[in-house]
Amino acid sequence: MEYLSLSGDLTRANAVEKVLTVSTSGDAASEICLDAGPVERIDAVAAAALRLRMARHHREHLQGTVTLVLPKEAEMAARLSALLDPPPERVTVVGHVNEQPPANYALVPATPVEDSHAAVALGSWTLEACEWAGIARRRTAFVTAATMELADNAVVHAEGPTDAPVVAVTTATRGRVVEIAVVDTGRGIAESSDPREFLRTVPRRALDGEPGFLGNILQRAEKARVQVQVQIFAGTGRLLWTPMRHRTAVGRHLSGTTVVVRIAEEREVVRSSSLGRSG
Amino acid sequence: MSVKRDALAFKVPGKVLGTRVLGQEVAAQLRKRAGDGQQDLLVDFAGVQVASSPFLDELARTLRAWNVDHPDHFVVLMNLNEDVQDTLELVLERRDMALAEMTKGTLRLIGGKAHLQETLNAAQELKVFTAAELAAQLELKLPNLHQRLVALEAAGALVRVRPAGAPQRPVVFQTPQPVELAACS
Repeated sequence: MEYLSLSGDLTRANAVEKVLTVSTSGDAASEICLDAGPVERIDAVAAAALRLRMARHHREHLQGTVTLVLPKEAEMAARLSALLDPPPERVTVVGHVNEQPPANYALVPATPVEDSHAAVALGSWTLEACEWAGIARRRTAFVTAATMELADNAVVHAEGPTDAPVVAVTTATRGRVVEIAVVDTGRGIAESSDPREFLRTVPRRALDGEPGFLGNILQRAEKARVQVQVQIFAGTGRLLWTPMRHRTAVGRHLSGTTVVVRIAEEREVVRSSSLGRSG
Repeated sequence: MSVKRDALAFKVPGKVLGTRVLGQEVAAQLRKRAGDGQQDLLVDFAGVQVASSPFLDELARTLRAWNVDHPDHFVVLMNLNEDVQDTLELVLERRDMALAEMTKGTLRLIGGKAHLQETLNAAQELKVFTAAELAAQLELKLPNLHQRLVALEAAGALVRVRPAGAPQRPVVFQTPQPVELAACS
């Protein structure tokens, strides 16, 4: 049996680093316990990374099982439970969910996306979820298109992936802020000789007018009356990209590529998070 | 003078449209429906709520190729909502393209520069015209009009009509008429 102890801040790069560690068991019937009991913060990345870890465990251990221990803190337990609902087969969720997560928090629970058609189906689901949550029409269209294309980008461009990419979408402050997280196991950027330099070229290509969906969504943001921030974590590379500027940094090595798109109403101030050494 | 035309209406299937793969599939359906291109082409987006830029890019490239292969026929998009229009505008700007679109009985260009829209408006008033007549309408010199006519033809918003009678008669142009298009859709 493997035991993975998760604690503290399980968001963004921390979530990828802590959850997607290398498996230590070769037993086909191996059980893994993902103990999130001491976790104090989660986000869409945490849910996507956990869902990916579950899929990976089942692929590596054909009869393997997964036990997820929910956070002790009631609201975190409710959030994580909602983001992993329904849990996949051979996954047991342990812990109590005594309260509801914030309204519409788990807009799209963590969902593996096998191919481009699954990405379109995810788009349809996202549209319905946004309408159900009462998100304004223009932002609904923007969030739907962004979710669909980010998922498809991971499907199409991840090099040598071992598992399907996973997408999760959350909302906060009554739907005024939406976060889309896509975690994939592609090795193209993460295992390149200089992931930071690779990420640096992404905004440059968009500025040069080369087609690319990330550049498009930043351009579309103004017309859709939203503010958009894109964060990418791949290997040791980090990129923070807004319509006004971009910066790259170096961090601890993370497997695969994680893209987080934060979409806020125009009035919301998008605060850049710390990226470590900037460049 | 009036020139009677046939049109084929292609309904873009679905409510949420995204990814290049789906764009290529819908483009292939469109090419199959359009067949040998003996009719004008109306691409109807009624019911489409969201269309992403990669999807629209695939469709736009197909329509551009269709325009090149069938210069005698119009291509008009219909019933695009505001979001799809905005996204398509971005896609067409990036490709340096324009396409004609009809909403509520009005024909306009998406992706084209302002002077092209002005030219299309004047052409709409004349319906069927020679280059000299349109130049007079716009108070332009004839050579200055040439590039505009070429751009509108590439957008599928203008076609040359083979003149009846003696071959030395001047070339006549025609633009789509919203009333006729609405009847075909």
